[in-house]
Amino acid sequence: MICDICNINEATIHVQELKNGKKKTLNICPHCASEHSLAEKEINGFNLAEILYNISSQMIKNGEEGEGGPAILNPDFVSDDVAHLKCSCGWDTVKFRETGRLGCPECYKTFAILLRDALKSMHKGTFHMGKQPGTIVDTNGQIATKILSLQKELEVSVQKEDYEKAAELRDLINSLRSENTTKAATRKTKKITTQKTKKKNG
Amino acid sequence: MKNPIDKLILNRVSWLADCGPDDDIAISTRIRLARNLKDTPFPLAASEEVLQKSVLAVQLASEKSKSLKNPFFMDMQDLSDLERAILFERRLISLDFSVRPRCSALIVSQHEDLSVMINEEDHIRMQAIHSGLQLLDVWDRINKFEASISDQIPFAYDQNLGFLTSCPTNVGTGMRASVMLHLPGLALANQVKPLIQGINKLGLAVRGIFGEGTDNLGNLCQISNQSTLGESEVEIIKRLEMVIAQIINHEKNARSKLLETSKNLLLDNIGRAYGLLKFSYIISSKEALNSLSMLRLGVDMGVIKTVDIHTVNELFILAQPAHLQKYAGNALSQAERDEIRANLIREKLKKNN
Ligand SMILES: [Zn+2]
Ligand SMILES: [Zn+2]
Repeated sequence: MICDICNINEATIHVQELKNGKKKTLNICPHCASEHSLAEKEINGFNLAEILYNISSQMIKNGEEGEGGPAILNPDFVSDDVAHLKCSCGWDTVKFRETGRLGCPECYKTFAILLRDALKSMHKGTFHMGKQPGTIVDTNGQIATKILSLQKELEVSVQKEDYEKAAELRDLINSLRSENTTKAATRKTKKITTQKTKKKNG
Repeated sequence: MKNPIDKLILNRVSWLADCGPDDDIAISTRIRLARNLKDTPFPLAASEEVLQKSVLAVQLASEKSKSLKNPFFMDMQDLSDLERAILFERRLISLDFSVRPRCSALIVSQHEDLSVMINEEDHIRMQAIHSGLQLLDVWDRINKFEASISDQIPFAYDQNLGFLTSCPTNVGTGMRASVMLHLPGLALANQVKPLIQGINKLGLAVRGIFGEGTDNLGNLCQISNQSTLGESEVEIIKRLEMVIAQIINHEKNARSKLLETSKNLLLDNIGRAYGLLKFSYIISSKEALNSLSMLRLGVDMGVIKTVDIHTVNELFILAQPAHLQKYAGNALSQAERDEIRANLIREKLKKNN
């Protein structure tokens, strides 16, 4: 497929958008994609389209590669088991493909097969390493840095399928995290007493 | 009660009016967190009843939050198209949010440094914005606010995937940290393109903030993290900060090199831009933004001493279409806008002297 913008290079990125209820696809080459600073609203869709393209190539691995562009645009190439996934919220594979969005928290489980590789290509890792609900992560990042290095180890041990070590590391990380929460709480009370003397810098 | 938009518009935008570290090159720092309510369909798939409930839940939690005092609360359906466009131009809401006001609401702090979009793509999109390069301070602000409402609202969260968002590109921390940079030196030295390519390779996103097409209007660009899963918030922030610091250095070098090797060319660019802004009666948005960029460079470098930097910053916002129409008090055609824009800029620069 040739790039819609320069009409020269091979298009490898396929941006989908919904306009007036109709699906439109823009096929662009990496060169034109970097040339065009895409507006904010397009950025997510842009990443997503690239990733959906990866999903689609995942889907056609079993089938044959045919004409008509990436499988994401061509339902014939989507293997049956992933084409008909449906979540309790009403969201299905078709809606996920059209919007690049999920319908509810549960969708992450429903569409886990489709998401696994997509998440890998979108993000630095596959485990959440940030704050948890109701906690204040230490702003200086000392504990965070420690947790981070442990989590890197965790990922390595998961890759090596050393689940015993992984479980150990997970426990250690969780205990560090709760330590972090209590520290944040004590710092909070300390801050109140020093607030009056604190001056805004800059 | 007076319309909150009328009150807002009287304010100087604090993230432009305040001084911040490195604010000659880094204009502002913004961090956004996406959150969703537990066991609830995301806005895209939710019924109106669910959407209304989530507006209420977030509103109640914000009212109790100690990190947000006497905020403005706006029901998006009560606002006109123009008013929503103004909120977009002030960077308080996204473009999507401004054109699709279905059961959605906005909470804004008095100084516009903290705001919460309810029922955008996610139930909650909260952002903190400060002037200059202050990633850790901004993180501290939004982190505390998030913690203060998470005591009252259970969020959709998974032990492995973190905070669950409608779009899988945001899952994990749900955080997008971005810094707006003004890079006229690198632009004059033709170094923006290689820079953008380099930044992309580091897994960060770059985009112009006003222009939608290929033009990098006003030499402004915004740099942000792309990955939200697999790193802690502070790790992401530190990585971003390191890259930003390097870009600021490049820009400083480019400026001093220009001063050394092509001083007259530089002064000519700045002088002409100032003249254009000061004496035009018709000025397009593109011409205004590019001239304001050169004027800002002149002020930063001490070439132009009679103009206050914050006036220039403010003009970047005020010269946009919706703000101009609010200023004029009625809807304007493009031709009328170009005239009103020229008037406004002349007035502001005169007052400044
Ligand atoms: Zn192309
Ligand atoms: Zn679902």
